[in-house]
Amino acid sequence: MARNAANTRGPSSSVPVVSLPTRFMRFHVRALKEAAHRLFTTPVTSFMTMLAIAVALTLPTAMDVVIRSLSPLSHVLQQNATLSIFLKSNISDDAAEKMAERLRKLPQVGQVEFISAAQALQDFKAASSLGPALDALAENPLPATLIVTPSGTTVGQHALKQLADELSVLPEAENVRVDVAWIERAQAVLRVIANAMTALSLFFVLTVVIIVANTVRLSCGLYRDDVRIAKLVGANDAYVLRPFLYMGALLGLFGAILAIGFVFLAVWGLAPEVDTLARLYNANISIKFLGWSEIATLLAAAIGLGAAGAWIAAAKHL
Amino acid sequence: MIRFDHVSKRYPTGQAALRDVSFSIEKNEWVFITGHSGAGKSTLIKLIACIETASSGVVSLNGHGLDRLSRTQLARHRQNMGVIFQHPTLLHDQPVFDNVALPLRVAALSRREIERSVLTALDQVGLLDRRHALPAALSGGEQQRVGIARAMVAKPALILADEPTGNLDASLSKNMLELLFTLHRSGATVLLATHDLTLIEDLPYRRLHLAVGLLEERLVLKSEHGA
Repeated sequence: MARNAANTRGPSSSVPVVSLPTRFMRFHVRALKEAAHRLFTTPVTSFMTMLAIAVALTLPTAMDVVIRSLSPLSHVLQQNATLSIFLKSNISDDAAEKMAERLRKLPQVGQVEFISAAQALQDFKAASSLGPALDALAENPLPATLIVTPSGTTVGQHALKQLADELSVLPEAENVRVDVAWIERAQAVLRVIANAMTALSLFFVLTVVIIVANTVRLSCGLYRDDVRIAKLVGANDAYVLRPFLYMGALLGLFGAILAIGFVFLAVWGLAPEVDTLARLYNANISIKFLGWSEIATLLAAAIGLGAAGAWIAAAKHL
Repeated sequence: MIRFDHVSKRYPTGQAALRDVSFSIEKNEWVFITGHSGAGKSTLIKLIACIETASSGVVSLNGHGLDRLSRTQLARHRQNMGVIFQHPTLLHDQPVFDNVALPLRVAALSRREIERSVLTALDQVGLLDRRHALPAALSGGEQQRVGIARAMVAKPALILADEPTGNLDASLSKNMLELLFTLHRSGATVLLATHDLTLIEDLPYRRLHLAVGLLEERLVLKSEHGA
């Protein structure tokens, strides 16, 4: 009923009725142009805002790139895990070699290296300064050892421990030790870094929203008269809000484009370091730049965050 | 079309602008609102334009209270209305053309339609050659004419004019009144508030006279200019 009160146009009005899709398109095109115009009229402020957004987006994006690129390292670390089977003192070298041959045929086992008691003593002497003291011993205290490297399918702590349990019941084995403590520590560090980056990313997401909201809030003050006058001639809330939303979206978009550029530079700078790391672990690791889908996701997220920040700031001023 | 039922308006400062004002205006009627400065003419216009709300009483349009309009309905109400202010409220960073085009942009007209209507309106108010100028470069009278062009450009059903000729000389004032007559003849309802009785003394239209917020209906004559 009240709609009729506000829906009468002059009998001779020459203003044509515009279809809904046409209105939608025209409103959005005009809002986009208006938003671009507003950003262009304050170029320094706009650029500084984009730069701040870029910085906020660069760190989590770059860290994501690094973590994803280094994720194969975790697998490599797992593969580097070994089991040491310390043999009983009465086991001869020949019996130990035969045992090694038997173990090599197991599907869970990749490689087996035999270190005789004499070899172990020699290595220990070379690695330590206890040579004369060891010479004074009546007999070699070190046992012969089989170093077992699990096969590619035996990955993970559980599988390693299961293999250790199976090997420990062998009659020749005195003791079996799984050398995974350092791997667990390394993986724990990687997990902490990944979790910290997730938390930090949320913080930076919030930062982007706040940066855009603050810029749009200032812009609302600047365009207060425009909003007032537009509403006076019949603009609805959506009409006056739209340019601000596009403004936020454009700030987010250009901030993300700058961030992509910064990440590219970071990747370019880090590549030699990662190559060095890869050589150290004999791993096939290289730092990879963002893929197309990741770039699209980053741009879409930045646009969304920008628009959200703009909405938070502008909706209050309507 | 427009009805005031025992409407009073008191501003937060305590000043009573309107006191128990009741009247009605029919569709396609022309009404002058007269009174001295501070009599409440502008307040009355602002109540119809929903810039202010009544402290008590009801202002209604086509039987529906304006205080009950939703934000969307309010926007539509204003699209069907052209308001000429005593002091033109223009966008100072935008040229004359864009100021006049604003109601048509809000109505989502095409660029071509906007250009045609705006140029016609600017021609009617004699500012066609000033269409690229910023408001700051215009005289007070020219700014007032931009405001008049903006109010008329969408050919609204209702024209609210608050001292529209306040900044214009006698000749231009008559021209502007002629423009409003043209709109009135084509079906628009016009409320024109003025303190300048010499401007309207020969015009045979209904007058609502306000004296310190109180309404006196002075005379009702049949319009010679009406449709």
